[in-house]
Amino acid sequence: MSIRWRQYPNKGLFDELVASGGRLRPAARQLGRRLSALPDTELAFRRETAANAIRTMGITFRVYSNKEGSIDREWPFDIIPRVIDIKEWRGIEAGLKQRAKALNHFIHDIYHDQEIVKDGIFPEDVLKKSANFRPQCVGVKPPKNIWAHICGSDLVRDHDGTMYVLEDNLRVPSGVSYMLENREVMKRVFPELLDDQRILPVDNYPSQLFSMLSSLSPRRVANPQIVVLTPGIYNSAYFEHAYLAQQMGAELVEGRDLFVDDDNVVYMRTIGGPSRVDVIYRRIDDLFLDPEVFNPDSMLGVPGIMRAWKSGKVAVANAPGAGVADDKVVYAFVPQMIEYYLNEKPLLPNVPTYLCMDREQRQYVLEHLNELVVKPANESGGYGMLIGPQASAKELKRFARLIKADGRNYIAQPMLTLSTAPTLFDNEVEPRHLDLRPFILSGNDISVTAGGLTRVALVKGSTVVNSSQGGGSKDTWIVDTEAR
Amino acid sequence: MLSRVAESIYWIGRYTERAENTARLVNLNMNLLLDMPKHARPSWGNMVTMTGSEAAFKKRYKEDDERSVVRFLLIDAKNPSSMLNSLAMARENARTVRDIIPQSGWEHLNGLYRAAREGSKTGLNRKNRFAYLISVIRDIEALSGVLSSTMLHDSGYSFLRMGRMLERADMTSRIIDELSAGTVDSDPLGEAENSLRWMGLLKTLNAYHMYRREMEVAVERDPVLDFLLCCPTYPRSVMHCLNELAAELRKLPRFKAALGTCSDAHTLLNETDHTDLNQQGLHQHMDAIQLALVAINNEISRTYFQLSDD
Repeated sequence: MSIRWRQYPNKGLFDELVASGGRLRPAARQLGRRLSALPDTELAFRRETAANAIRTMGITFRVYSNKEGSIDREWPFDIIPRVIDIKEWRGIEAGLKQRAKALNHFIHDIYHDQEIVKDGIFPEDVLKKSANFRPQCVGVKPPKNIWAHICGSDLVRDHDGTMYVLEDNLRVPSGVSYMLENREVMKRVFPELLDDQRILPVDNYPSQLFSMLSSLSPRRVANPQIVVLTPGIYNSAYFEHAYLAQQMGAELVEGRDLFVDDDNVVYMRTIGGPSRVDVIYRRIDDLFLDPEVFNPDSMLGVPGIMRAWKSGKVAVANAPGAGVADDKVVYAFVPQMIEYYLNEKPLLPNVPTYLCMDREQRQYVLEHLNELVVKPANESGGYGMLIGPQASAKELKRFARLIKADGRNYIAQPMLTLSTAPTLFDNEVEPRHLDLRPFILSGNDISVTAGGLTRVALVKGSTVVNSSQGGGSKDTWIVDTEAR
Repeated sequence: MLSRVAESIYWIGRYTERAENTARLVNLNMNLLLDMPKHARPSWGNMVTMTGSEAAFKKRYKEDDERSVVRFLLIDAKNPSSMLNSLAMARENARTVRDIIPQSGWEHLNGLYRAAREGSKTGLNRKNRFAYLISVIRDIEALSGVLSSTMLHDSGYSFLRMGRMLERADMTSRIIDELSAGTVDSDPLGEAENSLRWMGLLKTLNAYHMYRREMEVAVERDPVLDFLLCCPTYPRSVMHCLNELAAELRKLPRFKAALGTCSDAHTLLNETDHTDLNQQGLHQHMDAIQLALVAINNEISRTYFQLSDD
């Protein structure tokens, strides 16, 4: 027995690899044929190889449970990659760059003259009630006026094939290390497949990140000191913090490794004494960053880091306050921002979004609650959501109350049928829903990862792709179908 | 190098060395037991004392029989310095410095810990224990090989070596202290038995062959002590460990104070003539050596690890 694409049950779904009638899409053709030529024993062997590679490479993520506390789990990985045709990808890439550019304009504007508000494009109300607007950042001029140096935008495809931007993560987006490690695992599992055709490499990300961070250094020195600031080993993304520091050759530091002196210079404590820091790639949320300014009880941050940043003695990426655009209500305005700041038409569409702060839209949402997905403005990781079609009457009632009480804090979107890709279960392929998180770096220029992190909901029918809630991942291949 | 990172690497050195020593101790003790006259055998309880964890042991076990001691020393989760816990701690420390340790080193340590944990399910009974512990010891030896040939030999590596050397010197002094305690001072009747004991002591430290090669004399108290304490070429002697430690310290910044504590220990070794010491005196001498090692550890910690703003 082996995989038979004709029997692949993707009826009524948009599948990334397999079109109707078991026909493989052009970018997936070679992969699909190779896979169906493998007998079951061989498929099982490859799966085992992947599991072993993940164990020995120590690719893990942390989950929290009330029973067991914080535990390290092996990274759930499916060996069938998700493929995207390079022709489609070029369009997506351009759309993401356009978005990142507009978002950076927006954040800078918001912390300076707020012209977009004065011109009536962006409602002042939204800003007033923004959980991530930081008054402490008003008037600060970060290098090159860039605030969101690293952006992770989530893309989803609906059943009609349209690719939408679902959200932009501008605070401390994570997942890029898994994108890199997924490829490493695939090289061990299917070397012949990668050799077969031209698949864009992903491994230049750490050097691009390094150059981008170096370009922010306030001191003009040959080797600026870059550090990755992590909350520590119990953070769910610690694996990634360590991985990126290692790949870049930067120091991985915790708050207690740093201190700020009276001249607003940041130092790290080394065996040779204090040593100056130029650029901080922080993976700690704003509110924990500096107990002098934000949460005074934070043990994770560095007292004085905000003074150092404001006086230009150190660069911080992403800049404090960048999260103001990482708000699902602000998200709804990104297409307008693109037109306002860049005078361009948006290349990538938003998912249609109803703002519950608007009276008419709220009324529509309340009347169609059982058809919609409702999201709080400032949560991530899939928490605090309502999935209308699957919700109980009690839950629907609860959300109706929440929306009426605090419209500003909720948006609603139609329920998309996320696209799927074949996923292996006991040598059988079954369609599973997925999304894609590419990473966009903004410095002297803007670059996008070749593909990104594909997350897949391993539970049948589920659309929750978060690894903390039963999600897994796949390698993402941008296939150059023109290369011969 | 960050102070916190240096400290983690130092502890990787200490914990892996501790795990290896514990595995050796348990493995060799069984051979030793079988060689010695019954009434003079070091007990399993002695081994708990050697590792300095009597208090923790007594809290958990009623009897110091083989089963309890082996379980306690190798896998007991409540014994902070059990072999498995030491490996787990080494791995946790490595996890915090994954950006410093080469990927192959991390993969090796990760695999080694997993294999030790997996193997412990069947590795404790007498039949399997020897093979199990040998494989753990080989894995740890291979880890030092991997690190030595792939890690940058910079200050990080110096901290790894310093941790290892300090732990090793400590263990050697503890084993001498404990196993020499049963020997009898200048009692001609006890001589054959004493010789067996000193031989056992050498074997516990895996030093018997090297002793023969280096010393070319019979196995007797004074040359054995000479060898284990002061032989500069035997890699588990206290002197050798101190020399290596000093050499690593000299490569680091601000080494003066720590090197001073090292020299103190050195002087203590050089200036004590253990041929003059009776059993009680030897015990006191070992105590003094252990205190000198603690002083070195404290000075290294004060100079390099403590996170003060000055």
